[in-house]
Amino acid sequence: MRSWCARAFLTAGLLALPAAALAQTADELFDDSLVRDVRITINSNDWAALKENFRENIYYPCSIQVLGVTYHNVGIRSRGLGSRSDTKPGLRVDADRYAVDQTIAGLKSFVLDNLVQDPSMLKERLTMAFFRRMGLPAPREAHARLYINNQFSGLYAVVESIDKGFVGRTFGEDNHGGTENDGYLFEYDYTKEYKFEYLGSNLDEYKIFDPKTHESQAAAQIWQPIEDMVQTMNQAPDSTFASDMAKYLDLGLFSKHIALEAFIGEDDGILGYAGLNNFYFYRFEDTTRSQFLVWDKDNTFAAADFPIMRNVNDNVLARRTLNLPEQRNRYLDTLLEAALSIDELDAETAVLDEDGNPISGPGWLEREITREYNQVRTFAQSDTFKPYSTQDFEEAYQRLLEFARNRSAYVRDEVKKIRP
Amino acid sequence: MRRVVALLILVLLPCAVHAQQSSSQTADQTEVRPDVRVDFPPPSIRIGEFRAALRLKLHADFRDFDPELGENEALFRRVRVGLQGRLYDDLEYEVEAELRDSQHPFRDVLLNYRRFRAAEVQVGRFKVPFSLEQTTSVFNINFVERSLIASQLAPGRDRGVMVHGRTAKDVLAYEAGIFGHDGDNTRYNGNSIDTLWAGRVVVTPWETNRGLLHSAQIGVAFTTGSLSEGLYGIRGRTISEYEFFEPVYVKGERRRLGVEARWTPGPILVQGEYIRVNDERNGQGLGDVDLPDALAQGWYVSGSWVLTGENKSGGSLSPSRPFPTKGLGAVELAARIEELRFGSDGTGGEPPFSNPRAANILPNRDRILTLGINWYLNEFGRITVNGTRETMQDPARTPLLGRTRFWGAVLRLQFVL
Repeated sequence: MRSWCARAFLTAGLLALPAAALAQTADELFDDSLVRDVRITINSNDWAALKENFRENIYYPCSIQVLGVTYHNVGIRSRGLGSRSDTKPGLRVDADRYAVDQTIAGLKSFVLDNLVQDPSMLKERLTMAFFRRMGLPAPREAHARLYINNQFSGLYAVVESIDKGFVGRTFGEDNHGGTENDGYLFEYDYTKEYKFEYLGSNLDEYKIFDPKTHESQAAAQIWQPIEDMVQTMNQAPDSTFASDMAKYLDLGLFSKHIALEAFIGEDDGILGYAGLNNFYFYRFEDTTRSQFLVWDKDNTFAAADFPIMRNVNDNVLARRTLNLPEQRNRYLDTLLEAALSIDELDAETAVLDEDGNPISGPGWLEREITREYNQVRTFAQSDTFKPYSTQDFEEAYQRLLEFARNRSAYVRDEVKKIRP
Repeated sequence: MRRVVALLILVLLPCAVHAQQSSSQTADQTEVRPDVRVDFPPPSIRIGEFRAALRLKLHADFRDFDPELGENEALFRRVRVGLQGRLYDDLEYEVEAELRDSQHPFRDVLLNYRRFRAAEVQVGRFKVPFSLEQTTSVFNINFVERSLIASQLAPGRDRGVMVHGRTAKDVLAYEAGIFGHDGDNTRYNGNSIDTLWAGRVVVTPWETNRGLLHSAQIGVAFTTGSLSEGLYGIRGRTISEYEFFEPVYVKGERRRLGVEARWTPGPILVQGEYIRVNDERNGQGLGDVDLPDALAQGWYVSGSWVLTGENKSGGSLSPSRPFPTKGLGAVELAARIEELRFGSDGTGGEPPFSNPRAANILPNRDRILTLGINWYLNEFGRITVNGTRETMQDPARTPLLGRTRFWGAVLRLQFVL
């Protein structure tokens, strides 16, 4: 066998060895029962350059140790929008940047969220857990201590990337019996205030939907269905709006999605204060039907009395969807279901009645906040790279508790006002 | 249409100039005054010891690759004008500019003090003395392109000062100089070296012998310079200019070593070179550890045979029966096999990786077989046809992912006045 061929096999074998030998899985990586260490070894010049050029998506080579296994030939870059930082950079970790088909715990990539926009450092993880609990797909997350060249560099969240792997795991089989992961995946790229108004027939206007798959295909294949969808949601008569839009979206699922964002006090999501933001959009294989996917939720838990219909009338899709009685009811029902869910008692922590049934005590959300807080408190306090004080962290935690204790009652009252 | 016009111009131009030269040799050597003489071609003037000759050099290429690589066909590859001559008997000068290069048009800009044959002094911008083929004009090589090692590993031109000469009855020739940077061929990421030392020694052991080995020569050359820290490693490019090896991070010394040999017995030419470039990578690893040197190396062996029998020992060839006045010119067959490979000078105990800070750099190699035919119309014009077969090592780093073999063909028309 030729020497280069032997070397190629050796390389492939060595690359595959860590995952094969230790059978690491993403489930282990996102096991949120503990805070893991993530250790990155990088040239100090590259780390300095990454921080200096933190607004650019330049990749740097590194090795990374997770779950006790070191992966070589990995690429990292600065990431984020408003969360970009030169002192505590958010990082995207690409396992296959330099090594084709390399994965880390079965993942081609993941995000190390720097948690700089949320003094509680908990909102993102809590929100994703909330969405999953309510039956909508959301990235898995766990907290981690990040070490750069053996120096503690802050408390981060390991966040599952929304990519083909996520889509395949989430949606399962396609119509042909294969894995549903070859559709068109888009990340919404916030550039200006936009609320689903029709932007005309020029497909360039829809490039705010940044393709993450099939990027090299013709523009018409990528964006035409989006243009068609936006045109329909703006121009379809009221009488046919539901049936016309059914070609593009499951309006019930959309109603549920925005209801959950409203419930959790998200002011920077689909109905954000400055227009659409923070979501992925997946168009299923061989169809024009798409689904919104939740992303980047560090601005949630705005307030316990966050209005449940906030910005609904500003967004074309939300307004017209919730004008449909069926969808409006779905929206309100989802709010009530969410209220019920976050208040769910636990036999171990609740006060029990004579029959052993829990009758009062902290609900699911309050318990989850406290559990995560206890997990990360020590590391959050010692994180000197966070752009806020430890006191800010403690106060933010208290506000989360306040939200958890009061949100359900407020929402129930508001729903009653709309639908007595 | 442009192709046809260019083809006609570049075939007819040398014929016209040659015909002009043949028919009116005496008429164009005009003595204006006893100490002033004007000649053509090339257009030149002598005023006492002062001499000036205007030079024009053209290359037009017609390229094709299989598979189609979407390369940008450069119709006129080179359009150079120059002035060369002497300010007085001991001081030569040369200025040459490439008109297609608007950013850095100047190629050679030099003065050469030649009072002492054993120790001439050259200053200005010119080729760093390294590599037989790189220091041979591209208008005098046997192929359309220089070998990969000559065009990518040798420094090329730079600003500097050089002492050079011949001694020991011309058995030994030497060049030694100091230059501002590492040459044009490695300037793609900026200047990587601030001071480059270079030297070359060529021995012609049988120079004084009139036998078969009279023209045989061997040489050795080196350069050394301190590399700036950064992504300044040497890159590798294919014929179609695809980057099959990307630069790596370096810091420390860059050391080049070159070995060359050439033999021109009559109409035959045999030539070969080996070049090795070591780039130190001090502190360039993950966690700032030192890495094994990045290593770029390669070789070529080439040969040619002038079917019409002309002697090629001087490097260039002037047909004994020039076209169209006395015959069909001269015809030469040529072949070259070459290899350029990249990797690291050691593994660092790691498997090979492709990232620019890998201890063990994932190697890649380009190997090319070139077959060619040269038709020397006359001393001014030449038509060259080259066919190439290029074979890459790493299927993930080729112009077409997964494909490792590429074919190419080039027709070149050359005019030198």
